[in-house]
Amino acid sequence: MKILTLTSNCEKARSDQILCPILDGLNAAQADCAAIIPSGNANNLLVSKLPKHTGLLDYQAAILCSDPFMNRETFFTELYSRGIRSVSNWPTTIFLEHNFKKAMNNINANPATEFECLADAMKIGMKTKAFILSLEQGKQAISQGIRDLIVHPGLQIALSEGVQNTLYESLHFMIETLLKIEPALNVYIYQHTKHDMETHHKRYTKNPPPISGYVIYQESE
Amino acid sequence: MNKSNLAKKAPFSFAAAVGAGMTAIAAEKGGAEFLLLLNAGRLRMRGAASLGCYLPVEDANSWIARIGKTEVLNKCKIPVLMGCSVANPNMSVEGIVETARMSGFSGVTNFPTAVLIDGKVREILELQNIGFGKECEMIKVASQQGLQTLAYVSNNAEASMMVTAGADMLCINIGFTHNSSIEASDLTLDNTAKIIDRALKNIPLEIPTYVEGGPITTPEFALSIYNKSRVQGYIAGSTIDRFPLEETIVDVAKSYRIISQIKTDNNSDRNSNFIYGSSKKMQEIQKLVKYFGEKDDPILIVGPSGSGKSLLAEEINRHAENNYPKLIHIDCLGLSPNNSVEELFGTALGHYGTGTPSQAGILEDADQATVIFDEISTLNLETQAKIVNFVDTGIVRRMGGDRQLKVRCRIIATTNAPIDSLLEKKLLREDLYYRLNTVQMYIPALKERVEDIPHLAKEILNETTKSNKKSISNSGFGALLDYDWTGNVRELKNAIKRANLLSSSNTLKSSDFNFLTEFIKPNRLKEIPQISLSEQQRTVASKPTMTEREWIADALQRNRFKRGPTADELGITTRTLYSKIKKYALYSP
Repeated sequence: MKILTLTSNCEKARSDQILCPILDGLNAAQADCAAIIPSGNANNLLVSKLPKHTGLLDYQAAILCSDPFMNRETFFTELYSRGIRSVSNWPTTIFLEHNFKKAMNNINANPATEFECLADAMKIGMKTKAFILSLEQGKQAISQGIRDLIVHPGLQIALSEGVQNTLYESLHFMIETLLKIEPALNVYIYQHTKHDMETHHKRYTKNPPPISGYVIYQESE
Repeated sequence: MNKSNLAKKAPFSFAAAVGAGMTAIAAEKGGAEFLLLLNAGRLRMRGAASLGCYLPVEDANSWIARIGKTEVLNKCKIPVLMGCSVANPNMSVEGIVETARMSGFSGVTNFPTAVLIDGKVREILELQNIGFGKECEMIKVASQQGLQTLAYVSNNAEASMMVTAGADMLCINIGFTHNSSIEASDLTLDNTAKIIDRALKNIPLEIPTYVEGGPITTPEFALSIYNKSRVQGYIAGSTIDRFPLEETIVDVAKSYRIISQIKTDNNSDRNSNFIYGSSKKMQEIQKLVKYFGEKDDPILIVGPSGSGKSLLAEEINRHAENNYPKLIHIDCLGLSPNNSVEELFGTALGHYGTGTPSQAGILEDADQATVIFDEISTLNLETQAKIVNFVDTGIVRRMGGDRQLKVRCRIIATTNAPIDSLLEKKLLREDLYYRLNTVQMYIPALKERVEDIPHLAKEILNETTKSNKKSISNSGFGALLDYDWTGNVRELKNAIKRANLLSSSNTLKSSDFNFLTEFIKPNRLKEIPQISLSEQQRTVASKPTMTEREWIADALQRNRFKRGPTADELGITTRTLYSKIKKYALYSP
């Protein structure tokens, strides 16, 4: 069971971390909304914060795939040269709903574009892990050739235990469905905290979902 | 809005949401009362969409503060408000307001605003105090510090909260204007007015209110909303910088592309009329006309519909006027399918039964005439056989009669279908074809000779605007060159006539030909602002746009409500015209 962390701290980067420096100062709930917090240039910040040393070249990074100014080929080549071997779509538009989702869709700020962007990263030899929220998004990612999915349980709104259980049941069902579509998938569940991960793990010890691991959010200290 | 409110209403005002020094200065010169410096405007200047303002592509606040200091504040005299994002939890509202104040802005506005965000994401923003609640806090702090404040809101609850927070002005945001083109949102102007009035219910009248976005893309639409709702002004964003700027750049760029072709045209034969152009093919035809025009040989003109075959036939006749002073133009499609022989050759007394009178045929009058058979292949084979004999002998004999009349004439026939196909399908008799094909002239489709378009367009425009000469700009030529012209010269002619009617300018620009590619939404047409007579006069003087309804009404009036000539002038079928008349209730007075 792998455990990865989504972190803004790039100073002591490890291969089990997904680096995303634009999240600096954001708690887990705020990090979910990072795609609509114009606090800096997410992708430039990533490049500037990547470790300079040339030891281990196996970092993972999260990128703003809907950046309208991104030249994918140049950007991925630069990331690769700086030791990034895997990219994910974060800050992400997977949570957008209703009218705002429609409006953002007009400028291609949507999950489909994010998965297409990750697919382009694969063309230059990178691995990809796609954050998804729904079955539809999972199917879109699979259709782009992405085989590592990070399933997000949804925005952090206080839920009763009963509702939480129902949510996890549907999440597991979704994972099983995705695995039926593509058995070669590696599926991770995203958790806002380490505590959430442990609670989920304990709750389903006897009947664990078919996942490869967890991705947890690590707030900056 | 009730009449008492209307009477008290302040005059229409407008402000501009910009993102660069150049647009700020231009908007000030144009009469904007104040400016909003927003990251959305900056993104537009960089070629991205306004909506990108939400994305983490720049630190919105420090970016706008820097642009304000370096490009705008030292150049503009009118108030400039800073678009401040409160979404970053690491920035306090006090810190944001301090940034605006220290940078020299007159005030602040909550932008990018959470009011357009919906669903669970909006809930999280509010729960985390990085949404509208924090925007109200910022307006409150700014107001307390004596800064001007304009609050973006989308509904009555938000408007009330902002008034409580101390906002000096409110702007109802109806949603973003479509990012890439002047395309209206799904909202109609009436619905927009209703949304505005709902949002401003019970808001004190002394608070100036504005509207932005949604379906409002032109000054006319803004004025209409002003008349229909209680807002007193409009804040122009992409409609004041991106759309007109893009259009101008496209026009200028097209000018560079087209200029060489226009120069070529200036060197072309100025004596030619609008049949010809500078293309090699048309120059060859011109030579053929000069050579064969005065001779007696039959000529077959082949070319797609609308390419100008009839005009060419008449042009040939002009060269032969000494030999054949008369011109008989026979529209074969217009002849009765069952009686075409009778109509052409006439009928003798009693031909249709005892006592029926004799009737002269068209060809009886063909002596010393050029006879043009338009679309000859539409005649039935029996009639074609009679014409073969007529071509050979020049003899006209009425049906049922014995008397023969010999005429001396010149035959020109036209057809729009390929000859091979007509012969194969036996729609054209081979013997007739061989007799007519002494000289064949083929007029290519207009898209195969685009180099002729500038010349043709000029000639058509000159003919259309005989008393009031107009010209076409380089960009206008560019628009004509970009179009496909499936209806060929006829379509070009109609397009130029239409553009001429729609534009009161002396120069037809690219935008005057937008109708060629734009789909006009019926619901937009219905909602053209109903403005007073004096406003209409002002509007006509300043912006001579014409709706489809007006365009059709004008043509109907010119043609005294006769549908045939009107449809012909407009370049549409009578059926289409009828449906438009019905749609716009354009009935004869």
